[in-house]
Amino acid sequence: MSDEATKLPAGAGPCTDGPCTEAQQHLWDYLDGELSDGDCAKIKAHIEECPPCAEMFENEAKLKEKVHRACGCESAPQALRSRVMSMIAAFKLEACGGSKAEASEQEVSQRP
Amino acid sequence: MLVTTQFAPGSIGSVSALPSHFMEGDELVVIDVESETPEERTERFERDALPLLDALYAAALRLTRNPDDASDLVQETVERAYKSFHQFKPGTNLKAWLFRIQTNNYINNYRKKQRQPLQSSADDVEDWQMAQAESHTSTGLRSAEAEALDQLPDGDIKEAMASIPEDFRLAVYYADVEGFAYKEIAEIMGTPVGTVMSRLHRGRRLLRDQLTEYARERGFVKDAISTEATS
Repeated sequence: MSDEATKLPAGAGPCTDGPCTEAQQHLWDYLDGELSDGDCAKIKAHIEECPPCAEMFENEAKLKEKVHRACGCESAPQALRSRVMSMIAAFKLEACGGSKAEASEQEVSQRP
Repeated sequence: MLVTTQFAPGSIGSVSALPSHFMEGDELVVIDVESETPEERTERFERDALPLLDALYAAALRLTRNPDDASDLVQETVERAYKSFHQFKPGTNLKAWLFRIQTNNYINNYRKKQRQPLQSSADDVEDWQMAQAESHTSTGLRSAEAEALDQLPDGDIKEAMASIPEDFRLAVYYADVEGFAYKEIAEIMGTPVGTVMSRLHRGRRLLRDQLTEYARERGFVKDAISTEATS
Protein backbone atom coordinates (compact mmCIF):
# COMPACT_ATOMS: atom_id res chain seq x y z
CA MET A 1 0.00 0.00 0.00
CA SER A 2 1.44 3.38 -0.96
CA ASP A 3 -0.25 4.90 2.08
CA GLU A 4 1.99 2.83 4.34
CA ALA A 5 5.10 4.40 2.91
CA THR A 6 3.98 7.89 3.92
CA LYS A 7 3.65 6.78 7.54
CA LEU A 8 7.31 5.88 7.86
CA PRO A 9 9.18 8.15 10.22
CA ALA A 10 11.50 10.11 7.97
CA GLY A 11 14.82 10.43 9.74
CA ALA A 12 13.37 9.33 13.06
CA GLY A 13 15.75 6.43 13.55
CA PRO A 14 16.28 3.04 11.99
CA CYS A 15 12.60 2.11 12.16
CA THR A 16 11.92 1.41 8.52
CA ASP A 17 11.79 -2.35 8.31
CA GLY A 18 8.72 -4.61 8.34
CA PRO A 19 8.05 -5.19 12.05
CA CYS A 20 8.61 -1.51 12.87
CA THR A 21 6.24 -0.35 10.13
CA GLU A 22 3.64 -2.82 11.32
CA ALA A 23 4.00 -1.75 14.95
CA GLN A 24 3.77 1.93 14.05
CA GLN A 25 0.69 1.37 11.95
CA HIS A 26 -1.03 -0.11 14.98
CA LEU A 27 0.36 2.41 17.45
CA TRP A 28 -3.00 4.01 18.21
CA ASP A 29 -4.97 0.76 18.14
CA TYR A 30 -2.47 -0.45 20.71
CA LEU A 31 -2.57 2.64 22.93
CA ASP A 32 -6.36 2.83 22.68
CA GLY A 33 -6.70 -0.81 23.73
CA GLU A 34 -8.36 -1.80 20.47
CA LEU A 35 -6.16 -4.80 19.60
CA SER A 36 -6.89 -8.45 20.25
CA ASP A 37 -4.74 -10.10 22.94
CA GLY A 38 -2.65 -11.80 20.29
CA ASP A 39 -1.93 -8.64 18.27
CA CYS A 40 -1.30 -6.71 21.45
CA ALA A 41 1.29 -9.26 22.59
CA LYS A 42 2.96 -9.11 19.18
CA ILE A 43 3.34 -5.32 19.33
CA LYS A 44 4.47 -5.49 22.93
CA ALA A 45 7.14 -8.04 22.04
CA HIS A 46 8.35 -5.80 19.22
CA ILE A 47 8.61 -2.61 21.27
CA GLU A 48 10.43 -4.49 24.01
CA GLU A 49 13.24 -5.28 21.61
CA CYS A 50 13.16 -2.09 19.50
CA PRO A 51 14.20 1.05 21.43
CA PRO A 52 13.22 3.57 18.70
CA CYS A 53 9.71 2.12 18.49
CA ALA A 54 9.52 1.93 22.29
CA GLU A 55 10.42 5.61 22.47
CA MET A 56 7.80 6.57 19.91
CA PHE A 57 5.09 4.57 21.69
CA GLU A 58 6.09 6.02 25.03
CA ASN A 59 5.98 9.59 23.73
CA GLU A 60 2.51 9.21 22.24
CA ALA A 61 1.28 7.47 25.39
CA LYS A 62 2.64 10.34 27.46
CA LEU A 63 0.70 12.89 25.42
CA LYS A 64 -2.48 10.80 25.60
CA GLU A 65 -2.08 10.64 29.37
CA LYS A 66 -1.47 14.39 29.53
CA VAL A 67 -4.69 15.13 27.62
CA HIS A 68 -6.50 12.72 29.92
CA ARG A 69 -5.25 14.46 33.05
CA ALA A 70 -5.77 18.00 31.80
CA CYS A 71 -9.33 17.60 30.56
CA GLY A 72 -10.80 14.96 32.84
CA CYS A 73 -10.44 16.66 36.18
CA GLU A 74 -13.34 19.13 36.05
CA SER A 75 -15.97 18.54 38.69
CA ALA A 76 -19.55 19.69 38.38
CA PRO A 77 -20.10 23.07 40.09
CA GLN A 78 -22.06 22.98 43.34
CA ALA A 79 -24.88 25.03 41.81
CA LEU A 80 -25.38 22.42 39.07
CA ARG A 81 -25.23 19.61 41.61
CA SER A 82 -27.95 21.29 43.69
CA ARG A 83 -30.13 21.86 40.63
CA VAL A 84 -29.82 18.21 39.64
CA MET A 85 -30.47 17.01 43.19
CA SER A 86 -33.67 19.03 43.48
CA MET A 87 -34.76 17.82 40.05
CA ILE A 88 -34.29 14.24 41.22
CA ALA A 89 -36.10 15.01 44.47
CA ALA A 90 -39.01 16.20 42.35
CA PHE A 91 -38.87 13.02 40.23
CA LYS A 92 -38.97 10.98 43.43
CA LEU A 93 -42.06 12.80 44.67
CA GLU A 94 -43.70 12.20 41.33
CA ALA A 95 -42.72 8.54 41.39
CA CYS A 96 -44.11 8.13 44.91
CA GLY A 97 -47.41 9.48 43.66
CA GLY A 98 -46.96 12.87 45.30
CA SER A 99 -48.79 15.68 43.54
CA LYS A 100 -46.99 17.39 40.68
CA ALA A 101 -47.72 20.76 42.24
CA GLU A 102 -45.85 19.75 45.35
CA ALA A 103 -42.90 18.55 43.29
CA SER A 104 -42.54 21.68 41.24
CA GLU A 105 -42.98 23.82 44.33
CA GLN A 106 -40.04 22.08 45.92
CA GLU A 107 -37.99 22.39 42.78
CA VAL A 108 -38.61 26.13 42.63
CA SER A 109 -37.89 26.65 46.31
CA GLN A 110 -34.56 24.83 46.05
CA ARG A 111 -33.30 26.73 43.06
CA PRO A 112 -30.47 29.09 43.81
CA MET B 1 -42.27 18.46 28.10
CA LEU B 2 -42.30 14.99 26.64
CA VAL B 3 -38.91 13.92 25.41
CA THR B 4 -38.41 10.84 23.31
CA THR B 5 -34.98 9.47 22.69
CA GLN B 6 -34.64 7.03 19.83
CA PHE B 7 -32.25 4.14 20.13
CA ALA B 8 -31.60 1.76 17.29
CA PRO B 9 -31.97 -1.95 18.13
CA GLY B 10 -28.73 -3.32 19.51
CA SER B 11 -27.34 0.10 20.31
CA ILE B 12 -25.97 1.16 23.67
CA GLY B 13 -28.26 0.25 26.51
CA SER B 14 -31.33 -0.62 24.44
CA VAL B 15 -33.72 -2.61 26.54
CA SER B 16 -35.11 -6.10 25.96
CA ALA B 17 -38.24 -7.54 27.51
CA LEU B 18 -36.24 -10.04 29.56
CA PRO B 19 -34.99 -9.24 33.05
CA SER B 20 -31.34 -8.16 33.03
CA HIS B 21 -28.81 -10.31 34.85
CA PHE B 22 -25.36 -8.99 35.47
CA MET B 23 -22.56 -9.22 38.00
CA GLU B 24 -21.79 -6.33 40.29
CA GLY B 25 -18.64 -7.40 42.12
CA ASP B 26 -19.40 -10.94 43.30
CA GLU B 27 -23.11 -10.35 43.40
CA LEU B 28 -25.55 -11.37 40.70
CA VAL B 29 -27.93 -8.50 40.09
CA VAL B 30 -31.30 -9.14 38.49
CA ILE B 31 -33.36 -6.16 37.43
CA ASP B 32 -36.70 -6.71 35.81
CA VAL B 33 -37.41 -3.39 34.18
CA GLU B 34 -40.97 -4.51 33.36
CA SER B 35 -41.99 -5.11 36.97
CA GLU B 36 -39.87 -2.37 38.57
CA THR B 37 -41.96 0.33 40.25
CA PRO B 38 -41.44 3.99 39.24
CA GLU B 39 -40.09 4.57 42.73
CA GLU B 40 -37.50 1.81 42.37
CA ARG B 41 -36.54 3.07 38.94
CA THR B 42 -36.02 6.60 40.23
CA GLU B 43 -33.86 5.29 43.03
CA ARG B 44 -31.83 3.21 40.59
CA PHE B 45 -31.40 6.28 38.40
CA GLU B 46 -30.19 8.36 41.31
CA ARG B 47 -27.79 5.65 42.50
CA ASP B 48 -26.29 4.87 39.08
CA ALA B 49 -26.47 8.13 37.14
CA LEU B 50 -25.59 10.74 39.76
CA PRO B 51 -22.00 9.54 40.26
CA LEU B 52 -21.46 10.31 36.55
CA LEU B 53 -22.34 13.98 36.95
CA ASP B 54 -18.71 15.14 37.01
CA ALA B 55 -17.87 13.18 33.86
CA LEU B 56 -20.94 14.59 32.10
CA TYR B 57 -20.01 18.11 33.13
CA ALA B 58 -16.39 17.76 32.02
CA ALA B 59 -17.56 16.52 28.61
CA ALA B 60 -20.20 19.27 28.41
CA LEU B 61 -17.49 21.85 29.02
CA ARG B 62 -15.49 20.50 26.08
CA LEU B 63 -18.65 20.62 23.95
CA THR B 64 -20.00 24.04 24.85
CA ARG B 65 -16.72 25.63 25.88
CA ASN B 66 -18.31 27.70 28.63
CA PRO B 67 -19.42 26.79 32.18
CA ASP B 68 -22.97 28.22 32.03
CA ASP B 69 -23.88 26.39 28.84
CA ALA B 70 -22.20 23.25 30.16
CA SER B 71 -24.31 23.31 33.35
CA ASP B 72 -27.52 23.84 31.38
CA LEU B 73 -26.61 21.03 29.00
CA VAL B 74 -25.91 18.60 31.83
CA GLN B 75 -29.16 19.45 33.57
CA GLU B 76 -31.09 18.83 30.36
CA THR B 77 -29.19 15.60 29.82
CA VAL B 78 -30.13 14.33 33.27
CA GLU B 79 -33.77 15.25 32.68
CA ARG B 80 -33.90 13.53 29.30
CA ALA B 81 -32.05 10.51 30.60
CA TYR B 82 -34.48 10.17 33.48
CA LYS B 83 -37.45 10.28 31.13
CA SER B 84 -35.92 7.59 28.89
CA PHE B 85 -34.47 5.52 31.69
CA HIS B 86 -37.01 2.71 31.19
CA GLN B 87 -35.32 2.17 27.79
CA PHE B 88 -31.89 1.68 29.30
CA LYS B 89 -30.84 -1.94 29.69
CA PRO B 90 -29.37 -2.47 33.18
CA GLY B 91 -25.89 -3.95 33.18
CA THR B 92 -24.91 -2.25 29.90
CA ASN B 93 -22.75 0.85 29.77
CA LEU B 94 -24.73 3.62 31.47
CA LYS B 95 -21.96 6.15 31.00
CA ALA B 96 -21.91 5.63 27.23
CA TRP B 97 -25.72 5.81 27.18
CA LEU B 98 -25.71 9.14 29.06
CA PHE B 99 -22.96 10.52 26.84
CA ARG B 100 -24.99 9.58 23.80
CA ILE B 101 -28.02 11.46 25.12
CA GLN B 102 -25.86 14.46 25.95
CA THR B 103 -24.11 14.47 22.57
CA ASN B 104 -27.41 14.10 20.68
CA ASN B 105 -29.02 16.79 22.73
CA TYR B 106 -26.12 19.12 22.13
CA ILE B 107 -25.99 18.52 18.40
CA ASN B 108 -29.76 18.57 17.77
CA ASN B 109 -30.97 21.25 20.12
CA TYR B 110 -28.27 23.00 21.95
CA ARG B 111 -25.68 24.08 19.47
CA LYS B 112 -28.18 26.51 17.94
CA LYS B 113 -28.73 28.52 21.10
CA GLN B 114 -25.13 28.54 22.24
CA ARG B 115 -23.60 31.60 23.78
CA GLN B 116 -20.34 30.98 21.93
CA PRO B 117 -20.19 31.35 18.17
CA LEU B 118 -20.75 28.17 16.19
CA GLN B 119 -17.65 26.09 15.72
CA SER B 120 -16.89 24.69 12.32
CA SER B 121 -17.52 20.98 11.84
CA ALA B 122 -15.11 18.40 10.51
CA ASP B 123 -16.41 19.00 6.98
CA ASP B 124 -15.42 22.64 7.15
CA VAL B 125 -11.78 22.01 7.83
CA GLU B 126 -9.92 23.29 4.85
CA ASP B 127 -7.75 20.82 3.01
CA TRP B 128 -4.78 23.06 3.51
CA GLN B 129 -5.26 22.94 7.28
CA MET B 130 -5.23 19.16 7.19
CA ALA B 131 -2.33 19.07 4.77
CA GLN B 132 -0.38 21.39 7.02
CA ALA B 133 -1.18 19.32 10.08
CA GLU B 134 -0.21 16.11 8.32
CA SER B 135 3.05 17.48 6.98
CA HIS B 136 4.12 18.60 10.44
CA THR B 137 3.23 15.42 12.20
CA SER B 138 3.64 12.62 9.72
CA THR B 139 6.55 11.40 11.79
CA GLY B 140 6.18 9.98 15.26
CA LEU B 141 6.40 12.22 18.26
CA ARG B 142 10.07 12.74 19.08
CA SER B 143 11.32 12.81 22.62
CA ALA B 144 12.31 16.48 22.55
CA GLU B 145 8.84 17.41 21.32
CA ALA B 146 7.14 15.07 23.78
CA GLU B 147 9.08 16.60 26.65
CA ALA B 148 8.18 20.10 25.50
CA LEU B 149 4.48 19.21 25.29
CA ASP B 150 4.63 17.58 28.69
CA GLN B 151 5.66 20.91 30.22
CA LEU B 152 2.57 22.73 28.96
CA PRO B 153 0.08 23.80 31.63
CA ASP B 154 -3.32 22.08 31.66
CA GLY B 155 -4.94 25.32 30.48
CA ASP B 156 -3.05 25.08 27.18
CA ILE B 157 -4.31 21.54 26.61
CA LYS B 158 -7.90 22.63 27.21
CA GLU B 159 -7.45 25.64 24.95
CA ALA B 160 -5.94 23.50 22.21
CA MET B 161 -8.83 21.06 22.52
CA ALA B 162 -11.30 23.94 22.21
CA SER B 163 -9.55 25.12 19.07
CA ILE B 164 -10.02 21.96 17.04
CA PRO B 165 -13.29 21.37 15.16
CA GLU B 166 -16.04 19.80 17.18
CA ASP B 167 -16.25 16.38 15.50
CA PHE B 168 -12.52 15.85 15.93
CA ARG B 169 -12.54 17.28 19.44
CA LEU B 170 -15.28 14.91 20.55
CA ALA B 171 -13.57 11.83 19.12
CA VAL B 172 -10.31 12.72 20.86
CA TYR B 173 -12.11 13.59 24.08
CA TYR B 174 -14.11 10.36 24.21
CA ALA B 175 -11.05 8.23 23.42
CA ASP B 176 -8.33 9.95 25.45
CA VAL B 177 -10.20 11.45 28.36
CA GLU B 178 -13.11 9.04 28.82
CA GLY B 179 -11.34 5.97 27.47
CA PHE B 180 -14.33 4.76 25.45
CA ALA B 181 -13.76 2.01 22.87
CA TYR B 182 -14.03 3.00 19.19
CA LYS B 183 -17.29 1.08 18.96
CA GLU B 184 -18.75 3.00 21.88
CA ILE B 185 -17.63 6.33 20.44
CA ALA B 186 -19.28 5.34 17.16
CA GLU B 187 -22.55 4.76 18.99
CA ILE B 188 -22.27 7.91 21.07
CA MET B 189 -21.59 10.03 17.98
CA GLY B 190 -23.90 8.09 15.64
CA THR B 191 -21.19 7.43 13.06
CA PRO B 192 -19.48 4.32 11.65
CA VAL B 193 -16.34 3.08 13.46
CA GLY B 194 -14.21 4.00 10.42
CA THR B 195 -15.32 7.62 10.74
CA VAL B 196 -14.39 7.61 14.42
CA MET B 197 -10.93 6.31 13.60
CA SER B 198 -10.34 8.91 10.92
CA ARG B 199 -11.62 11.74 13.16
CA LEU B 200 -9.39 10.51 15.95
CA HIS B 201 -6.39 10.37 13.67
CA ARG B 202 -6.95 13.86 12.31
CA GLY B 203 -8.05 15.29 15.64
CA ARG B 204 -4.89 14.09 17.32
CA ARG B 205 -2.79 15.62 14.59
CA LEU B 206 -4.56 18.97 14.84
CA LEU B 207 -4.29 18.90 18.62
CA ARG B 208 -0.61 18.07 18.51
CA ASP B 209 0.03 20.82 15.99
CA GLN B 210 -1.71 23.36 18.17
CA LEU B 211 0.18 22.17 21.27
CA THR B 212 3.49 22.34 19.44
CA GLU B 213 2.61 25.91 18.53
CA TYR B 214 1.92 26.76 22.19
CA ALA B 215 5.17 25.06 23.23
CA ARG B 216 7.04 27.11 20.66
CA GLU B 217 5.41 30.34 21.89
CA ARG B 218 6.44 29.50 25.44
CA GLY B 219 9.96 28.72 24.32
CA PHE B 220 9.71 25.07 25.40
CA VAL B 221 10.36 23.56 21.99
CA LYS B 222 13.57 25.45 21.39
CA ASP B 223 14.83 24.66 24.89
CA ALA B 224 14.04 20.98 24.61
CA ILE B 225 15.66 20.64 21.21
CA SER B 226 18.82 22.49 22.19
CA THR B 227 19.05 20.36 25.33
CA GLU B 228 18.85 17.24 23.22
CA ALA B 229 21.41 18.57 20.74
CA THR B 230 23.96 19.21 23.46
CA SER B 231 23.38 15.97 25.34
